[in-house]
Amino acid sequence: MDDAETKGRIEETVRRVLQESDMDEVTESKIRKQASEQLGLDLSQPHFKAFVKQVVKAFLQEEEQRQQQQQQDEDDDDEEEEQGGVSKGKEYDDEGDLIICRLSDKRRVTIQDFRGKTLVSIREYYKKDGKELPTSKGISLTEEQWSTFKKNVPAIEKAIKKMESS
Amino acid sequence: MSGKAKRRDDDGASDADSEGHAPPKKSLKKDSDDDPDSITVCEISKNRRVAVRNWKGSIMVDIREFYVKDGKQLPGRKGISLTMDQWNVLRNHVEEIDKAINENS
Repeated sequence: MDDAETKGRIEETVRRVLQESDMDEVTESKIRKQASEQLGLDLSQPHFKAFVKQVVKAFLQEEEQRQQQQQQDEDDDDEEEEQGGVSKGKEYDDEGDLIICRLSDKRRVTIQDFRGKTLVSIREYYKKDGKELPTSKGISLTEEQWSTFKKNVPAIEKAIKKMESS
Repeated sequence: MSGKAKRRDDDGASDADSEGHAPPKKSLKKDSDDDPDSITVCEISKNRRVAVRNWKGSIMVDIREFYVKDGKQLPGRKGISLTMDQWNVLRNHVEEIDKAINENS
């Protein structure tokens, strides 16, 4: 009975010391010394030493499982965010239009929703009062016009090469 | 970035973008007789066309609206001329633009 009672006190003390310790710095030897001081026992004796080692090992395993469970919970949260929220990486200008790409410092391509119609706007912007505002230098294409334009991209490339060689 | 001085035709204040109602025509590639430094690639609507031009030694892709005056078709102020660098960026994002249009519609 003394052994069982002593082991109970050792386990309780070791666990408390572990919880209060910085897991990145602590060693089993330090744990044993601290527990020895608190219990008034010499835990470096072989059978005590083995028992302390056992308690530490069990504690670490439980800690690892706790962290894995926590990680899994966080992953679940991430999944929820991805499903419900808007995907990150999309950029919008100061007027709320989606920016597809920037052709230069001042020029960009945006997607506009104008009176219920989708427009592809290729336009120059200027800065004023910390905002980037559209100028009249540019053109907004309807879906139909954009579709025709897209089909003619190869023809445009061809014309460029012809112009370059002339 | 090379500066682009352009002739500005003042045809009054432009309100919302006008929309061509005629079906878009796909014209054959042809040289303009009056301008050997310009190739009209296509018309994307009744009054809008895409051309490749040589402007002061630089090749530009010009997307512009035209208007009729005295029986002639003249380039209006509504439009934009892209340098080769800018054209390359636009061309590389064509599929992304299509995707965004489909998502928005």
